[in-house]
Formats: sequence, structure tokens, C-alpha cells
Amino acid sequence: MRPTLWQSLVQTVRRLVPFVLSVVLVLVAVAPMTTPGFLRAGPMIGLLCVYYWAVHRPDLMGYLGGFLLGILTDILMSTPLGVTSLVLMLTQYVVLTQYRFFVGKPFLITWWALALVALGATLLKALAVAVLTGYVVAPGALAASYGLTLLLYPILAWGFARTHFLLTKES
Amino acid sequence: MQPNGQMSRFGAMKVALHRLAFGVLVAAAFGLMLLGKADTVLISRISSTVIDALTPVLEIMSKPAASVGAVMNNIRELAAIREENARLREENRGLLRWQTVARELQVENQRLRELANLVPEPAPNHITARVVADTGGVFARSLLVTAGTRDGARKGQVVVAAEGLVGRLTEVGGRSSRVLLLTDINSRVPVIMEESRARAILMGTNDNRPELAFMKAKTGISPGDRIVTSGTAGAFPPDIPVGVVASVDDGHIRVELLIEEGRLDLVRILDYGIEGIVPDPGPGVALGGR
Repeated sequence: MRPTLWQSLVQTVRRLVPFVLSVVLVLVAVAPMTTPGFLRAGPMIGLLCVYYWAVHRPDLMGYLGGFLLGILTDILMSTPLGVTSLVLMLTQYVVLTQYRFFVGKPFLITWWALALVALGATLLKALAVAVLTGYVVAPGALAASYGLTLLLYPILAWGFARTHFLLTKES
Repeated sequence: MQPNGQMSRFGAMKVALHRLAFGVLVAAAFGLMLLGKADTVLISRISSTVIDALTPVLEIMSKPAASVGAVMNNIRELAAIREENARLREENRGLLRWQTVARELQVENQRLRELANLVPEPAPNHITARVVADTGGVFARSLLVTAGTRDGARKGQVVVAAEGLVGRLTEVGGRSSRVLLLTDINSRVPVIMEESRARAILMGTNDNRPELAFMKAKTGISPGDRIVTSGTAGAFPPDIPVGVVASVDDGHIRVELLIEEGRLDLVRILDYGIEGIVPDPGPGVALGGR
């Protein structure tokens, strides 16, 4: 039976939820918290978003989603346009090519894999910025950003898992 | 068998399209990087347009975030309320003494100005804007504020908070602007030591404490010395409080800013009619590359 227009519309909106949620998280991360130090280490929220969905539901966050999320991050954070997009899409590519490794793995394994993927992503982004602008980021600042990114993953993954559950339940 | 064959053909096509999309988007990302090097004006315009469109959303989001921050601050302050009260009483006693001195000096200053027939400096016009995003990170330090060209904001204008200098506007859209913070790697501000009158350039390092550079005489500088803008080169008006010397080691003089970048809520954009003599490089890490 062909789905009705309403059902198609609901389905499309449902498929957009992970991307929209990721955009909201990137925007929340730059909201002024009036608390010194909080989030100022620059965690890679976009990376966490694309990583989670690439591991669990790659069909809900394609390369276009990663590209657009990267553009948004670059515009907000004043990094050269295109750098974060490239890093996010390569992250998606790496996870998708190793998809068999991730399927059905417990959370701790995916967290450990994130530690490796995020390390590569952090270094690649720093390298791209250095090549394009000549600015070499201090290793301490990079380590802080990397560490905060890893620490935030369990919280974000929990929220995404709830969303994922609701999306699956509704469909 | 035929449906299976069709399905596998469909699957293969899907994989091929997926790969093509990846290739095209990676090429687009490289294209944007090159465009960013070649046409900074266009990239700046795209950035301003996107931020303008996002400003209403950022404004809505900044309110609950500010409330959460306020609650956290309240909890922290409640924990140390007794010590804070004692410190404030002590500070209040000191400030009352200073108030008396300031009033006497104000009267004396007024009389001397009248005697010297000093032409009064024009008071700057100002716009008050709300901070809607703190985009401080590893690669750049900037704020997004809710004032743009329609409110009279212009590129190069000086931004201050109650405590002191915040930075200056580097990207101005219709309803929003980007403030390049003093801690950003591209920030350069001519400053002067309030006591010794030694001139220097305050350079951002993407760290919380910017550094003093190009200083002729580094001797006699000690932690606690106050720093204000010098007005040299016409980029910033003189005598805006900036910070105090935090540490002096091995020729590196680090400055503790008077403002707390992470706590800014409202800022004032001042219009002194100063455009600056150096063309603006744009915020963030863009200087090296653009």
C-alpha cells in the first residue's frame, strides 16, 4: 500500500530529527553560559553527533548532514570554511568502512573507538588550519579539546539513544 | 530470481551514489577552503548572512543558557557567602575612602580644565548589545552580539563592558556582529602601562592571558601593574582600562584582563569615529590565511 502524503511527510520529518538535533547541539555549545571555563576548551560537538549516527543509524545522517554541520561549525567558530566539513565527512567515511566492527558492540567499545577516531580528527583539523592559516595550535589546548570531546560523549550518546529509541518506536 | 537481481542492482546503484556524494562533497569542502584563501570578502559576507539568519535562534537559546549559568553561579556564591561578605565589607571601606579622594580630584580637575581652557573630548555614541554566542575555542576567540548595520554598528568599532575593553567588531551583518576578543590570536591592541607610561602591543594568544610584546623597557614591570589603551595608530581610543600584569617570566609578560570573557552578557559598542589605519583581517585564525 502506498503511504499517504501525511505519512510521507511524517517520515521525512522523522529522518531529519538527528540532523536538526545535531544543529541544535552545535548552537547550544556556543550559547554564553556565564560560567568561566565551561565549554571554552572547544569540544567537537559536531564530531560526536556524526560519530553516534554513523555507528548506529548511518541512513539518518548522511555525508550531506556532516558537510552542512561542518559549515555551520566553521562559520560560528571562525575556522576556515570547509575544514570541519572535511573532518566530519572523513569521520563518517572511516566509521562506515569499519561498520562491521561497530555493529552490536557495547558502549565502552564504541567509546574507545571514538577515542581513536577523535584523535585523528583533532590532529587533522589542527593540521588543516595550520596549512591554511599558518597558525599552529598549542598541544595543551588541543589535548583539552580532545579530552572534553571524549568526556561529553556518554551524555550526548544517552540523549541520542533516547531519541533513537523514540524514532524506532514511532516508526 | 529477477526481483533479487533488481534488488542487488538497486543496492549497487545506491552504494555508487553514496560514494559519488562523498567525492562531490569532499571536493566542495576543498573548494570552500580555496575560496576562503582567494576571496575573503565573499566568505565574510556568507558568514555574516548565515549568522544574521541564526541570530534570532541564538538569542532564544542564550536565555535558558544564561539562566542555567546564573543558577550555577548562585550555588557557587552561596557556598562562600560568609567570606565574600567579609571581603566586600573590607573593599567597601576602601572604596569609600577612594570616593572621597575621587570627588576632590574631580573638582580640582574641573578647575584646572577651566584654567587651561581645555577643549573637551567628544563623548562617544554607543549601542548596547546582548551577547548571544561565545565562540571561544581552540582556534579563535570571538563573541556574537545582537547589533548590526541597522543599529549603527560598523566594522572596527570598539567594544567595552563595565570592567574594561572587550575587543572590536570585525564582521558586521544587518542585525548581528562578531567581536574579536583581546585573547584571539589575531588581536593586536596598542597599550600603555598606566604608571610607567611604557608602550607595548597586547597580543592575543588564544589563551586566557594575552601577552605584551614590542616593549622597549621591560624592567620595572611587576605583577599588578595596570594597563590601558594607548590610542597609538588610531585603532583604539586612549585610556580604556584593559587589564593588569599577571606574571613576568623570562621576558614574557602575561596580562590578566579586567573582563571575564565567559561571563559577558551585555556589551557597549562605542563609536569614536575611529576606523583604524590597518585594514581589518577578519576574526579567528583567518589572518594567517587570508
